[in-house]
Amino acid sequence: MCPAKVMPEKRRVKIHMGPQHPSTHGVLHLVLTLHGERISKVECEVGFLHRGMEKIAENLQYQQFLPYPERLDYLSGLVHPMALCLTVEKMMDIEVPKRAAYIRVILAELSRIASHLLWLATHALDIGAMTVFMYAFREREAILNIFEMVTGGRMTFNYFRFGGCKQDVPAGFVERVNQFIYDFPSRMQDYETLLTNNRIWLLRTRDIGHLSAEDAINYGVTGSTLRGSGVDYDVRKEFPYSCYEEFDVEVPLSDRCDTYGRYLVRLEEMRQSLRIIKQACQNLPEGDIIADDPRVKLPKKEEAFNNMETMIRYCCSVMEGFSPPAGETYMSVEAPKGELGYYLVSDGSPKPYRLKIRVPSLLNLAPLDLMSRGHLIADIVAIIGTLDIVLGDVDK
Amino acid sequence: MSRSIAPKLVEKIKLEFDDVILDISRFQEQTTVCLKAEHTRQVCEFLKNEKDLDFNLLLDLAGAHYPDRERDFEVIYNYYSLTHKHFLRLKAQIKGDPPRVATISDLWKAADWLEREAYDMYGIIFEGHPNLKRLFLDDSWIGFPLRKDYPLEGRD
Repeated sequence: MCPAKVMPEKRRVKIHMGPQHPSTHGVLHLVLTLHGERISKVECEVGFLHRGMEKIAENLQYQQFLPYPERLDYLSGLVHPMALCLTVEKMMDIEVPKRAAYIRVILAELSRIASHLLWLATHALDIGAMTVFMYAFREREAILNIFEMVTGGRMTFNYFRFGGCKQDVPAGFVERVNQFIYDFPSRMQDYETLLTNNRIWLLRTRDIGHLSAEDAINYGVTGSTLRGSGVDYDVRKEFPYSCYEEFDVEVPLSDRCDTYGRYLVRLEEMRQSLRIIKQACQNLPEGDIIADDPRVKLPKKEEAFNNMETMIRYCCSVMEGFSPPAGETYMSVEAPKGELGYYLVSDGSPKPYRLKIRVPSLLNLAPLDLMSRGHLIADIVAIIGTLDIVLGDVDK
Repeated sequence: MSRSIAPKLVEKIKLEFDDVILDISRFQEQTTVCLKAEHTRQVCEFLKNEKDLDFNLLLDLAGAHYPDRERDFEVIYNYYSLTHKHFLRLKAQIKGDPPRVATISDLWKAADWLEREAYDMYGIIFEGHPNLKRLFLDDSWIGFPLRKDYPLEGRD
């Protein structure tokens, strides 16, 4: 990988990549130390999108904080608020009704496919395959239209509530999702035809960005990046949440430990997500959409307007919020980028005492230096793409 | 299938470090071991190297500030073992100004950036860290935002 004659330190050049750069997928500042065109060191500077989410969380009631997590990884849509909901539900021991859990699963898996489509589109675009970008975004439009049908939004949704969902899915939802399930496999075949055995793609991604399993675990890498190094760790299987244990799904792995391996893993993950959605749609149970728990379920407006006590309860619920018991918990979900965890410390008040968000992209970005050494500048673009980071997620 | 750990392994940790452990508690299914921050390094090495424990995945490292306590800062480590599938939380309680604790970034590279984040937000100094600079905020920033005495609106 390294040239035979190593350039002395003083003749190495440092160049800046970012924070404004089309291929860094956000505001990421890299300082590349080069000898010739080979990278000898990469220093990352992050924090350009730091918004102080954790400080804000300490000053808001739980339900006031609900719209914030989806702004972390704005491309993964609904998975982030689902993680917050699950953490608080765990803390308060609230059981989510099955219908709500299934709807959460369907929307989360659609988010996963949408996120992976965007990953594929931008990764391929950075490497030079513009057609894949156009194709993948066409499928993503279909998913975003489904989201808009259910939640009203395409990128930020405010749809999940503690104990379930804000409202039931509209009529025609299952048909739309079934249409997507019907259309998608042939589209995936298109991407495979364009890329998987394409000589240029293979040259640009095989043996690029090697990350061994031990290094990946040591760096705290999770998600598809870890599974691309052959480590079988998927939060949906290890700690099933939201009825995931009822679905039959395989976790794709790759022993290649390189960019191409991660590409194959994510493609297969999209197929497995489609399987989950299919099973969930076929077996979608009837029932409530939010837990019948007075702490989280607001009374109906008609009751509130006609009954004084209900009106008082409604107002108190909104203004004061609920108070989970004092204690601490760690709960995580499998976000499209990796393991998204919430470490919550509650002191029994309506506001969290400490809410630490374990974001997957931050630790996925950490081994960038290790993976890039000895590669060309052109490869760094492929490596950033394969790590699948979102700067909103990295910087919180 | 759950984030728990066998009680006999917790006993093992307790026996080994009885004098430095402040408290062992369990909330729902998760076990938390609180200890004095001065001995964090030994306990972490034990958690990593001991064959029965083998906590190879550092899921998360967080700081926390409890200004009402004597040991007012805390570093929380969430560990998972991929081989044995058990989960443990370690809380190192720190006193002193500035709060100091030994680094574990040579044991788990994940701690490198996570400790930088804890330093950035709380001002906790991780002794032995190769590159303890701020992570999110600008290098010239004064103050540690996630401390409880730092206002939400920020200081001028």
